[in-house]
Amino acid sequence: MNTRTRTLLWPGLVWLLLFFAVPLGIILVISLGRRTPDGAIVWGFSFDNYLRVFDPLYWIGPWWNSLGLATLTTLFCLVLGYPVAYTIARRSAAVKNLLLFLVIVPFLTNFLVRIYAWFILLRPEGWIASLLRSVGLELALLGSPVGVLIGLIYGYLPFMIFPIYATLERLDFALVEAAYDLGATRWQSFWRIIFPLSRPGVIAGAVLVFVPVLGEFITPKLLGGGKVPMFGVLIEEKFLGRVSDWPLGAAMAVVLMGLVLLVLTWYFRHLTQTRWVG
Amino acid sequence: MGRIILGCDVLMTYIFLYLPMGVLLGYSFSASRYALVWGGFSLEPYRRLLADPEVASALVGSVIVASISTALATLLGTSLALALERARVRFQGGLEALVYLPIVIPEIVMAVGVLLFFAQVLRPSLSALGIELGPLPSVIIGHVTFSISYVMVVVRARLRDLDRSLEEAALDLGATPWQVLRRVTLPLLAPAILSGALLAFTLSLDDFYVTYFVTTGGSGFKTLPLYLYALAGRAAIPPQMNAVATLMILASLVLITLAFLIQRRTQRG
Amino acid sequence: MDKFSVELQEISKRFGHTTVLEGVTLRVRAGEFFSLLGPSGCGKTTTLRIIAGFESPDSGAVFINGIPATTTPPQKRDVNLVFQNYALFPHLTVEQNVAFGLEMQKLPRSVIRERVGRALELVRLSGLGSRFPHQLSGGQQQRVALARAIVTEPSVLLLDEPLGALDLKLRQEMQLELKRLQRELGITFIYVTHDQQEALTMSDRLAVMHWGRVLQVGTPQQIYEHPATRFVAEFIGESNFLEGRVVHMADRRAVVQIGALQTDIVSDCPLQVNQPITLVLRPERIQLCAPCERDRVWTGIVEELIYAGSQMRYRVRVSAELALTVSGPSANGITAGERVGLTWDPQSLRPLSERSA
Repeated sequence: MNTRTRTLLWPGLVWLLLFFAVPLGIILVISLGRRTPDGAIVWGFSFDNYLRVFDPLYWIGPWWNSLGLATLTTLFCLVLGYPVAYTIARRSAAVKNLLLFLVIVPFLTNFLVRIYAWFILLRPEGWIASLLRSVGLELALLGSPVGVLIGLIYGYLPFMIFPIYATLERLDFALVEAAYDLGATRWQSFWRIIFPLSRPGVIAGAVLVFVPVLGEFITPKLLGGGKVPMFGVLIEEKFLGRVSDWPLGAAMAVVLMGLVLLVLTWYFRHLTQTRWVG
Repeated sequence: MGRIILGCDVLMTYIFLYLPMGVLLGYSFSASRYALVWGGFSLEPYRRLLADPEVASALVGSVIVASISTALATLLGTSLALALERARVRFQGGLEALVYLPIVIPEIVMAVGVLLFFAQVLRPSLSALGIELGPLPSVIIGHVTFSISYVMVVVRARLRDLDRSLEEAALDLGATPWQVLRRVTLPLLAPAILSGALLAFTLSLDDFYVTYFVTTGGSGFKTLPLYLYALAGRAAIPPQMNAVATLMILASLVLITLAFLIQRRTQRG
Repeated sequence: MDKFSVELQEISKRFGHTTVLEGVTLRVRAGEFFSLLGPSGCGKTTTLRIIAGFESPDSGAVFINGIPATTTPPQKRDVNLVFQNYALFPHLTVEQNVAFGLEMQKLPRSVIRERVGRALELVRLSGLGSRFPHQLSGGQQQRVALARAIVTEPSVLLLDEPLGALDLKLRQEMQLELKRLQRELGITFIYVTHDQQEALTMSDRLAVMHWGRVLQVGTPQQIYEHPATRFVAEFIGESNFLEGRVVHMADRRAVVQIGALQTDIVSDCPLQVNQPITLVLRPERIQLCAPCERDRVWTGIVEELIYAGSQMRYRVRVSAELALTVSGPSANGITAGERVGLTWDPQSLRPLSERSA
């Protein structure tokens, strides 16, 4: 039976090897090449592109933006998402499903549509800006990191809500009652019991938000108006922009992959080290 | 007291989630010539939408790509799930990493990879054989590649929960492993395979990155997301943009309710 | 010589670091109702799965109807297994479930329909053919599993604790059903259970297993009357254990000193004087009398009375180190605290072999 099932492996495996693994390999290979002044690619073996990626003068903007926005998005998603997850987890089964459904619906619409909607909302003539102006705040939302941040939070909030909800849902709230019984206040029972037990969900959510945001391109491009360079935006420019530089773009993609793998390796090692009971 | 604050906070978050869609819905009924200006109630944007030939071709493009890539991805993903879960392979760890990687990898990296692969390897080798690879096959290949892993994950989860003794009972009664697959395993996996297919379909309809990178060079082939991107990039955004956006929201809603109902019915049966 | 339906020779099996089976040798005769009896974890289910072909032994050989079958895959063995959790296909009706094995044999539709009908009749489930498993009760599901396994007319039927999930009344009914079925069909049944009552009532022969080893094989009577080891004596029925020393041996009779008292026993094998010996005495073999017509050598005080319906169980303290459990009719008027006399037939005392457990 073993050999028979093993043949099932080949179609999918071959496809992935050919159209996924090989392309990744090509990225690596090209990143070691150079671009000639007239746009052709010279294959070689040099780390020049990598040096440029890590050159602070050049790239401090993108590094700062990417890491910073990823971190901020994760934090805001956590602050906004945790209460929602908690509230849903405490409801009856029917209400739970409805609330979860309501969370997922905006998420399932095409994300271009969602970003475009924010585009409308965040315009200088839009509602939010007008609202802020009425309280005396003149804030540029579109074309600034703030606007991009809002768009990112909007896009990734469900990624934070679902893992936290999953963990909280499995929590035995009798533990909380036991805490009350022993004299804890609501706040204490939350901080000392609920939150620590929901940590796996929080960390999962954080990883699910942080990692993709690092590589985001559409949101910063459309909402940032060219003034919020993140890794993704720059990579796109280097490949499809007017002045392309494929080897450099490839190097940036490799660095991005490296960052992602770093976070994921940390996450998986964390997973195997902590074993929660219950 | 704390509960009220919590409730308000959650309510505000939900409003935050639905505000943009509400705005889109509202503006899609605006009479103005510009998508971003309110000009009184009108069905003009929808009329313009129906008259726009580009939308139709983009829609057709999206559906064709989604259908074909879903079929392929479901086939490949299901066979991978079966193989990984049932067979003992030597490089299990490495294989699992390869199969899960497309899910965790940043979309832009995959898109870049596919672009490079087509530009540097596939197209040159195929034109050496005299074959010209059009945009449609390229996009389909790209979509299948990222969908396989998602289908695999969904099917594999259900496979894990499947009672092994059912397959053993079938063997015991004289079925060959192939017959066990056909008569017992696959029928019981059917809901999961359907879910996986629906997921692949949605991912394909929604995809921007891979499609965008693969079709650069102005091939003219468009899917809906690409059409939206093109519209949004114009200096003056035409009003049908809002109409398209609103309709897409409605379509997603319908698809999801459908999936939800299928899920409920199969659980009962 | 009888042909053996199933023969296991020196089967050993290890899972990781745990030895699950060691040196298991069994010979099951054609047409007999054979049970594997033992506590949980003794390896009986693993033995069954090795016979069915779902596990392969690390060493040893399996023969089915005289043909070597150690490496034969399950679908090619003339053996069918009734799973403990029934393993009914949830997406097929009762009829389709039962027909499955026949469809695998590629029999014509009409033959299948006829045989399925007969099988369902045999297990008293006619008329429920178009229902789905989840619409049936536990007892009904169990019978579907049975019908599915016998309809292909295998030469051996394996049953893995099939009555475990049923309540007592139903279980007793099904025990009779299964016995009747086996006699009607004439198929060899190999039955796994941890319930000694079940094994004793249903089997032609049984094997007692513990820690992956076969301790004793024999008819229910042989095992009950002549337990080979202390574990078998304790697991099957109730036992009193008397530890003592042989003081005299002549012909086939010996005298054993137990504490301050002596008793006669009968032994087929010669015993040495001064040899330490453990005797097994079943509670129902002891007679109580109060008052007794003659003076008894063995007397004691009744410590406890346990009412068990038709029988009463007495705990009689004979000496500081020894208390015996006696079972007898409840209507003999003996009360707690009474001094009673005990007698038994010397044949009732069975010496245990040195190897215990």
